[in-house]
Amino acid sequence: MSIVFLKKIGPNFSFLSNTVIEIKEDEKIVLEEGQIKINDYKMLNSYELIYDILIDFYLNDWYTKKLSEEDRERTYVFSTHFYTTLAKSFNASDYPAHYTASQIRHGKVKRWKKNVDIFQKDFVFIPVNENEHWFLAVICFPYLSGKVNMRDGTPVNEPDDDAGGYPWPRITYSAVHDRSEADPNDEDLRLFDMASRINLSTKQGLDYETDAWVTKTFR
Amino acid sequence: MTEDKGEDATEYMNLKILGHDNSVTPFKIKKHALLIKCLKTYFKIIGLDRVSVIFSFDGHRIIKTDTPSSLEMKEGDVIEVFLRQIGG
Repeated sequence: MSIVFLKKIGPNFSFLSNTVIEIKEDEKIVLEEGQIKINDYKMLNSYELIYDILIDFYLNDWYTKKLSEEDRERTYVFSTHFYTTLAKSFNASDYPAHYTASQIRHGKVKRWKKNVDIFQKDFVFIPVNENEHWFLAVICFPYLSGKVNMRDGTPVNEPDDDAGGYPWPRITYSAVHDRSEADPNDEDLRLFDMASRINLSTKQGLDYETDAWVTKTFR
Repeated sequence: MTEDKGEDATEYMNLKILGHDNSVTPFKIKKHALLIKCLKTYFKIIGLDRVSVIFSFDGHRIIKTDTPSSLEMKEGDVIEVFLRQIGG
């Protein structure tokens, strides 16, 4: 069964104003009335900055049409304003004193997806707009914590293999003062330099490729 | 009769608009009235261009046909205002 919609996309979008869009039963309508205007559409030219509305439209289109049913089940795409809301500055005196900064930030977005448990999804896509740039952050397997065995997914309690890692100073400052409570996550940050002699001597015996490369370079 | 009065009392809802500069504007609206009408008044008060902002309720972008009842709003709910984001 298919339904035929007569849809006016916007007052300025004259050449598309009488477009017939055929919508099958399982497809969602992703273009809402009056949202994308001709000026937004013009931003798709090269060397133009683009509006959030086009990013939202493309991600929605990709999610509803390009993804298979299985992938759609395990994926979630946030709107472009999710990160902006989360990272927006706030006035701490508006909230009860015992609230931490993270709790306040969570409170601002916790009602956004009431019916979706994003921690059960495999991939969560978050479009980010900072300093007039678009980024796409992807959170993979948010339900995992700690190391697991690659074969069967059982937890592994082995210390990290830091051979060859540079000592990395703890991050004690925040580049963005507004988000000082953010976890710098520096315990997962390692810096390795394959070309250093000191590091290579300790890396010998790791695997065949490294050994061959070390022998060739320093014989 | 008392039931009718009770329904009338819930007919109007008190909502808030949280501006992009963290300012809060309270307003009153009927449950089945179009939200876009009161938002248009808000544009006039703050002097912003209609095109440059987006209204959102719990992550849902408010469009022409939305009413408080269609969005299942409750008393004291907050509508957020975002400036449009641009990037490349």
